[in-house]
Amino acid sequence: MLSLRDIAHSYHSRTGGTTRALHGVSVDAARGAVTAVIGANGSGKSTLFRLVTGALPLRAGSIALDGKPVHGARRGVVFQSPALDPLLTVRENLRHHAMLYGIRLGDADLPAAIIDVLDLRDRLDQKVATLSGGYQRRVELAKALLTGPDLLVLDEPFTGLDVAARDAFFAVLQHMTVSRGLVTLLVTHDLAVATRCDRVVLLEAGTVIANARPAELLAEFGHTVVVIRGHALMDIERRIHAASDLKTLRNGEESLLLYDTSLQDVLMLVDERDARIEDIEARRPSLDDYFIARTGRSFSGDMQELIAA
Amino acid sequence: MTAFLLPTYSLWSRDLKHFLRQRSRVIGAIGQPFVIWIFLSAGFRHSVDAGTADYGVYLFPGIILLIALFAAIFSTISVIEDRKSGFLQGVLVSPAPRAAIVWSKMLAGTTIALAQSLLFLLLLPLAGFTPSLPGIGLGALILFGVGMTLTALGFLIAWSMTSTQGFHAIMNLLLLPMWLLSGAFFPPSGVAAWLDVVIRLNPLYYVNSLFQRVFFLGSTVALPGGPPLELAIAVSTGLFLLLLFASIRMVKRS
Repeated sequence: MLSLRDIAHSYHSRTGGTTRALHGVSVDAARGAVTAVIGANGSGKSTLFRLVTGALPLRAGSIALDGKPVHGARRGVVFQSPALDPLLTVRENLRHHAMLYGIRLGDADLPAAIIDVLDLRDRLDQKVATLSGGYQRRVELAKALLTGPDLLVLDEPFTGLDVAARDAFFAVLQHMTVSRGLVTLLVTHDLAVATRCDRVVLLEAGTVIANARPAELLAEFGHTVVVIRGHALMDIERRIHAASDLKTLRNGEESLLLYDTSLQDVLMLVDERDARIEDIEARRPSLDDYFIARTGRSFSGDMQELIAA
Repeated sequence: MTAFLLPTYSLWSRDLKHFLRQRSRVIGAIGQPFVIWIFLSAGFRHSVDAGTADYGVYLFPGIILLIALFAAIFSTISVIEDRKSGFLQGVLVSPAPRAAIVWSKMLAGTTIALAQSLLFLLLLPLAGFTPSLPGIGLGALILFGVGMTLTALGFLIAWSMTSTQGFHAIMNLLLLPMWLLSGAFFPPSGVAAWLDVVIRLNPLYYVNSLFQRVFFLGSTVALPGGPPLELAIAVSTGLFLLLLFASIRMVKRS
């Protein structure tokens, strides 16, 4: 069990300013489970990643693995940006990395279970620079697992992967976590992946605003969420509330969410030919809906703004 | 001990693989000192009073010093590249001691400098000079120290920099004048008073003097000027220790 207790961290600028990145963060992450840490840009998840990996010194709070300080634990780390040497082969990258952890690996010592499950056997003597992005991420994961870690910490490991490669990578990650009894902490902004994790920790402005299984977070939304897009939706929302006890959420001015309902029920309350309505859609609830409910804004909207910027 | 030696070996051997796999770097490393030595010795042969030595012979140990200097620059520039590419972050979160990063970089730069110098020594017959065996042996030892010192200096500068261009600019601004005023390029005697002060403040002056003395050990070459031997040894050793401890301290604190 990884236990984070009352973690706080601030950044101090040269001009004397202080930015509080994390405060009062307490999280437990179990062995054999993938715990996702999600949050919008600036929520503090990268700071948390850096504290757990030891890239930043811990100044307040404690981080313990099975009751012992985490700095003594063997950690496998996958960074958002590549940490591979493109001029070396896969085999050389793995060997050099193992030596940093005090392990000397011969050809026969490369752990077959890791190499095979990550489908790297035929690529061991290929230079990393010649591998696809998906396979480079696999090498990163192989590096992290190679040293027999108790704790696996990953920061946006799916960056640059298409959906198929991402799903394959996540499946391997889940398999390794369960089969090796790892504590896996996955920092991600990919809500589709986070929904498939065993537990989700939602950070907002440096604090934990949710920490539960994804199904628990989504329970209040029922089976279906109906989304109405258009303009002047406040008036439509007022009419819905006047005529029913449906729960609604507004995501800005252009989107209205009605949850724990069905499309038929909603169409009985609003006229889909109303000029103010552009589109009505029914779908399964997502973690983004939970994010909107707790913060008043869309997580994916934040990400799109970030990408556009 | 393994916890220190294996990471040091890992990073050192990685640097050597990098060097050998970059063909242009190998060609440059072999060709550059040869070209500089040929042109400088031909151009300044009749302009510089090099004591009893032919200028081409006088310049030879200076070019070896230049080899160590360039090896230090190119070796430590990879610190910035590793930081940019993300490789360094993986090293920094590993249990490898931070001192291993410094030692491996210094050893890699020095290994490359020694190998280049060995190849360059094959040209000595062209200069009409044969160094003594003790001269070569002691020279290799001093060169090892020079390589470590210059790489430590490069490391100290590179660690806090983010731009490889900026690093080149700083290194050229700092190291090339240090080399020019070390006595490697021209004898430090008979210069203007102000320049004499600058030369005496230049730590490479003492390092070069030590290396020259060892290189010409047992020969008839009499070098004009230079600091007392004890002072040259003391400054060279002090500089090496100072830069080594400063580099390790900086890496540990970051």
